[in-house]
Amino acid sequence: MFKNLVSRTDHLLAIISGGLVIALLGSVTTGIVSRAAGWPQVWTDEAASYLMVWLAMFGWMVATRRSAHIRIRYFNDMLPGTMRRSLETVFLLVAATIGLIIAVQGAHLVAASSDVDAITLPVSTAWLYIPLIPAGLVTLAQALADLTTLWRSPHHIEAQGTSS
Amino acid sequence: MIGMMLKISGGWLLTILAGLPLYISMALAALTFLWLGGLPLSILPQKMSGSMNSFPIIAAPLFILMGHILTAAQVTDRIVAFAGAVIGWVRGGYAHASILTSIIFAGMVGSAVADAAGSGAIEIRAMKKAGYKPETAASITAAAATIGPIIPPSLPMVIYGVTADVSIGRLFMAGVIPGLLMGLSLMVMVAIIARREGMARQPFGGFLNIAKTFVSSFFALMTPVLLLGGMFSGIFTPTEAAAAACLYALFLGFVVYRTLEWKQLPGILVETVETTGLVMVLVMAAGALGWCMSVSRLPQTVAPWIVSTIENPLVFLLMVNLLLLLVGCFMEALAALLILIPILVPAAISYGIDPVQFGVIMILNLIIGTIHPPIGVVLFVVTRIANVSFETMSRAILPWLVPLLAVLAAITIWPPLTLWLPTYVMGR
Repeated sequence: MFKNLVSRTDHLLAIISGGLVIALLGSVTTGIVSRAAGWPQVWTDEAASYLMVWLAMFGWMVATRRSAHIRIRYFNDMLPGTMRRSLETVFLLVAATIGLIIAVQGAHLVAASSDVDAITLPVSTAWLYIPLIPAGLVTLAQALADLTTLWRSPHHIEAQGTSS
Repeated sequence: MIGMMLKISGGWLLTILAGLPLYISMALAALTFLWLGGLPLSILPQKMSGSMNSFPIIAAPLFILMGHILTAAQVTDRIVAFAGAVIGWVRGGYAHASILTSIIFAGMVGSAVADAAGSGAIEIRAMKKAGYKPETAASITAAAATIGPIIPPSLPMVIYGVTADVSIGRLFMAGVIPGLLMGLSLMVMVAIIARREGMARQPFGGFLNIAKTFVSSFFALMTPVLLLGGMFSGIFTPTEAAAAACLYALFLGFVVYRTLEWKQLPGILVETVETTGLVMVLVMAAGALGWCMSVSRLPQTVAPWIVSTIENPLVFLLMVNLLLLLVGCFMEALAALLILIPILVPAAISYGIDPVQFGVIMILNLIIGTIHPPIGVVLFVVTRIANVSFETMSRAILPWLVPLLAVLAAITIWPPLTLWLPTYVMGR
């Protein structure tokens, strides 16, 4: 059941992310076309900037789920197994803490900016901070999941990232 | 606060070398600074989000999307065929064609890895079939792929422009001559080695074949024209040019060549999101850390110190080249760019060095780092395609670094190589 939930979440993440890319392309294109047509729309640039924030955060989540983040393994790979495992544990705890801080502080930012309106869009600036919450939570959850895998199987000492 | 930031920076570099994911190491350094400095921790997510809330940076995911569309639409095959018809018949023709393909492809995608992975497989296969040593074929492909981020569009240039607050349009123009010089210098190297090793050439297919392959690849060859023409005629900004190029790439794939299928789109979008995510999370974390550095006044202190220690701007540039080549040995290019911009760009400006020229120098240095050992991302890609060992590749690539280093020296010493074209096209 848990695997099913994770798989559905990944699917949802992919759908939302794909939609964000299309919306971003659409927003920038609308800006060009409306300007060329002599009917410039003032909201397109700001909408594109908001979508960019959301796309970056969702991209961060997708990259985290796929363990694609860039890291330098050159020196790490030279360490003996036990030391690498201990170091990896520390790294995952750091990632989990940072994820938690970003989610909690992101929620504070959402609350603090919910009554500040965007310039050309009919939304509050809190929308710039909302995706920080799921991004932080995914980072936290992935780090905890990797930590569990790391300690359950002694040979699994590669988590959260690809080699640079 | 400077002392504290210096200590944090030392610890941060250690965590990077120890293998902590780069964005987490940057976020950790920023968080440590905020905590020790008694500043609100909410500054970290605020600055991370703020780094993305910028119109010029939108060009980055759109150029990434365009690269994925063009690769999926197999536009590369037509360009390889055209390059082969044009220059493949001279001695070492397959290698020359590979370089010409990379020059053309560089005008479509802004990433060395995309170039090596996209056209590399076809080029290496053709060269191996023609009797080239696998490591020579892979080295030529890797070296030519470095042209990708120098000739516009360029992902590192977008990142540099946004971070250092420099015109992306000017940076794009500044990369054209160095990119062409890189291609030319690599071709000279091929000519020298081809004579010595007796490299094979393709049979000359006649002018009709050149015309045929040109017609077949005409719309693909028009991509850079549309991009640069649109940008410099004032129809659209570099960001909008990226969107226009994406639509054009879709038009090529779905309408002109009919090589793209609807079912490929979800895969293209998710790949775009993943690449965007791993690049942008670095930019976000670097934005937060950059703010911390600025508050600590580290760049404002380091820049005058560098200027007072090294008096001659040329010596400074040569030292920067050495530093960046060293950094490029161990660090991913975009990450290194983001880390070093806040420190090196203010120093360069203090010397009166144009930040556009400095940007091209920084990017070329770090891109060369992607093809030399021990951590060369492009080298890893071509090693896998050519099926040779990394150790063999590490030796084989060395001669091909020479022409690229010569171009680096030339653009360092003679600013007009980078600054003449942007000034000519866009004025002062």
